[in-house]
Amino acid sequence: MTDTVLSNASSRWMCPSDRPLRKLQAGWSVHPSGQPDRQRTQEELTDEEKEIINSVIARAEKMEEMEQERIGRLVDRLEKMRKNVAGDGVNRCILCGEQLGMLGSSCVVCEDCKKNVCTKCGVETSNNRPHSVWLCKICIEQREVWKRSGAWFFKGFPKQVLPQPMPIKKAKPQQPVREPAASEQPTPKPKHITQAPPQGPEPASAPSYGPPVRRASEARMSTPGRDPESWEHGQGGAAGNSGRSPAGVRRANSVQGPRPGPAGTLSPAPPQPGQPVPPGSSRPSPGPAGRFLDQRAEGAPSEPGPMGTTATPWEERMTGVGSYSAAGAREDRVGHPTGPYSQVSAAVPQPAVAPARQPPPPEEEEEANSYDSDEATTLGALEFSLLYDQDNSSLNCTIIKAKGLKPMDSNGLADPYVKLHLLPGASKSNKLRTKTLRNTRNPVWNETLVYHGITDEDMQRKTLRISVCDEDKFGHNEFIGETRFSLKKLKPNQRKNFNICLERVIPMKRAGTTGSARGMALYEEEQVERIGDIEERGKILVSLMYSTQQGGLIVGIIRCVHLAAMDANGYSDPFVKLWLKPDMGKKAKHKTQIKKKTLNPEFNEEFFYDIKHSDLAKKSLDISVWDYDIGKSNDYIGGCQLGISAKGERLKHWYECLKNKDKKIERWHQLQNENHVSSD
Amino acid sequence: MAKTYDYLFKLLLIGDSGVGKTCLLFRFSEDAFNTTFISTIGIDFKIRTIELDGKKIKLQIWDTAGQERFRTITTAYYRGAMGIMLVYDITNEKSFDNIKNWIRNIEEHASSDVERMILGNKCDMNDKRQVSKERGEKLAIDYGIKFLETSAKSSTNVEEAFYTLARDIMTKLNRKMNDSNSSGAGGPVKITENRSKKTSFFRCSLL
Repeated sequence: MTDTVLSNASSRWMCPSDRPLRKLQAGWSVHPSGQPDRQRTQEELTDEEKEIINSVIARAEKMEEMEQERIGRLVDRLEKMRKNVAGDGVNRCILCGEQLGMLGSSCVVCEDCKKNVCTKCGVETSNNRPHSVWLCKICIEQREVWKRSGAWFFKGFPKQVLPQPMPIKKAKPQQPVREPAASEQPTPKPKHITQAPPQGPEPASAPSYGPPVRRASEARMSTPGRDPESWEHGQGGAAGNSGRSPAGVRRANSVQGPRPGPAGTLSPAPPQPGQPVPPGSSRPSPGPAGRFLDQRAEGAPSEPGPMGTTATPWEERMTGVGSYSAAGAREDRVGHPTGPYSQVSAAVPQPAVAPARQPPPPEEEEEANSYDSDEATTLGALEFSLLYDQDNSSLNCTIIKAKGLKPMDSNGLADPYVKLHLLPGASKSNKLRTKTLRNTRNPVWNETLVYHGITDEDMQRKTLRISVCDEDKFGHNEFIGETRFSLKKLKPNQRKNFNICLERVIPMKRAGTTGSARGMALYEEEQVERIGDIEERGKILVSLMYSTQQGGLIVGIIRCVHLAAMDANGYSDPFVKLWLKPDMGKKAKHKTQIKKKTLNPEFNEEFFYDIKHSDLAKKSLDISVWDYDIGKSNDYIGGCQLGISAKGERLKHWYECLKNKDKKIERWHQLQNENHVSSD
Repeated sequence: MAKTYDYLFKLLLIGDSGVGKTCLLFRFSEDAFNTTFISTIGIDFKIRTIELDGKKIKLQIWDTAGQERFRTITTAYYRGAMGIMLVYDITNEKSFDNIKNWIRNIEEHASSDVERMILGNKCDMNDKRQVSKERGEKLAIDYGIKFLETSAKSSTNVEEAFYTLARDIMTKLNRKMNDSNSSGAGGPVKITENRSKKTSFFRCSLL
């Protein structure tokens, strides 16, 4: 509804000679000449501020990644539909290939792709128009993808509206690497999107909607404030002639090369050799189809470069080309192969306050678990205080409250409690817990838990792990987040207060990238401890085989070694749970038998998942090892997740299993303290 | 545990420093209020999932610092926004006057399709009011933008505001995606009709 007015408004307010605007140009960064001011003002930001901003950007980036994964799945689905077309859309239904016309099924024309479809493969929609129209199922799906991905708004898949993290100290030269991905616009119906008169404001800018110019403007829009050039460019565009300014044109050209063309982004061909290119020409819109081929030629060489560092072909297929712009996402990280987070922290000499204020660094494995979860990036904050009472040899842990906990229950709330573990030596005797507070995401416990008989040596050696969990009925408790504190940092008889963001993460890879740059001995030690902790959880030997004969995945749990001891007797009673996610329902979960009192259990059990090979690619297998406890909730020892969103060995294992049907592949996997779901 | 959603809408809050953007967001996302003023550093965002017409909509709401020195970083987020809340403080004339400038900023940096809404916040502090509701409404009408007076503190109209903006985006989505095609002939006329009808309807209910 604002459209009508907006177009008014823009003509009224965009006028550069507007008086108040000139008056305010210093304070209001709307005028081109405001640029130097802007640059200057940005420089006034302190490193601490930049760091806080960067942490927000990192959090957003994490969310963006999940969103991209989600969109990737949508696109994959559409792509699969496209690949399976059977007809020619003329005499035979484009989808099912049935004979049309007088002798065959009744025929309708799809409104979007103008191909002939049978009435079974078309859907009649009215869309509050006087006469109804037909759409083929592919085009319906395509519209759905546009709606769900946000492409409807951004006129292309929305990627990289996020600015880069701010360089701290010294501005590093930034290349406009982002543009290619940013300006991807699959535009399946370019005619309508670009020219449709109903889009209120567009008449004003209509002349600038020819393809190249539009790309220029999108390149601009996608990289606001990232480098002087794009600023300048943005300013130029803002003055209303982005397409005409030389910079605009140049940018437009540079963008075109590596960027997948419209149809290509929506209907990317998997780069796996041997796979036939889907009949691209049978694709609905004839215009983009041509560019689709172009894109493949151009796009191919441009991709391996930036992402060659980490991406395997499989990953590329699943998250990259198969889903339009992940390649771009990788390009963003040129030179930072360890991911966005380390990029931030590497560039950032952190002041001492930083760790407490930063949200937890995202961990890759978590993604697959929670890509759809809203608060995946914010687990909540915990306030507590610690006091080491030297005279009484006690450690008093006062758990004050938590705020904004990730909702765990269907009602959007949680039933949180706090568990304390004194590490190393994860035995039951080292555990304390608060009471459970019901139905709240902001629990106030104000409870003091005391460890007795704590010696100075303990204080030097031990780490306190504080985890917040959600208690569910029937003991299906869920882990929300945790924090760890090395007790040697605590001075005797001095209460220390904490207010921290919960984590779910062990920043393994960070040690190398941060190191002395931060000059923070304490922080480094903490990392070392954490890595030590991972090893403590043990390893698991898993076999995977996709059986074509049985039409399903066979997972073998062979054995575990060096499991963490969870019971007071120094052992655990381990068992392994499997969960194939998502959307597999009850049959997704399997459990091994419980092996009593051992840290090196041998299971030798196999489990079968009845699933099509093509569906399997989208799933991930969650493996978790638990310590069985009678009458109490089971303890989580560690886990790992295999799937296409996994990394390293885990990804490889999954990939090889998918690639080599009927071949049993065994691999060891390190167990980690990643998030797990229930402890039944 | 993992929540799925149908659409992701990205919203943005802008307005002078101290008008209560963060508090509005805090109220909407956590249903809480904090009286101490902590100036936002640069940017922040919160998430809330709402339901409209049976669709689960995940709102990613960006909060921006009102202070000028963060302007560079905050304007960078305009482009990605599908909806923008312009917030002023009814007890602060200046913040109201600046709405014009904020609107200009939007026109400069945001997508031309962005949905907008003006909020006069702190409407619980009537005794300190400097900007009458009528003036707020007048301004909104001038720009053809919806308007609400809100109070994050007393939780007045906060839900309404965000739901309204989300609904407007949803409406635009449905219109675009259902009509974008074949709007060649009779399309435009019809859509314009549609739109103006809706606008006037809404204003009636407002004024």
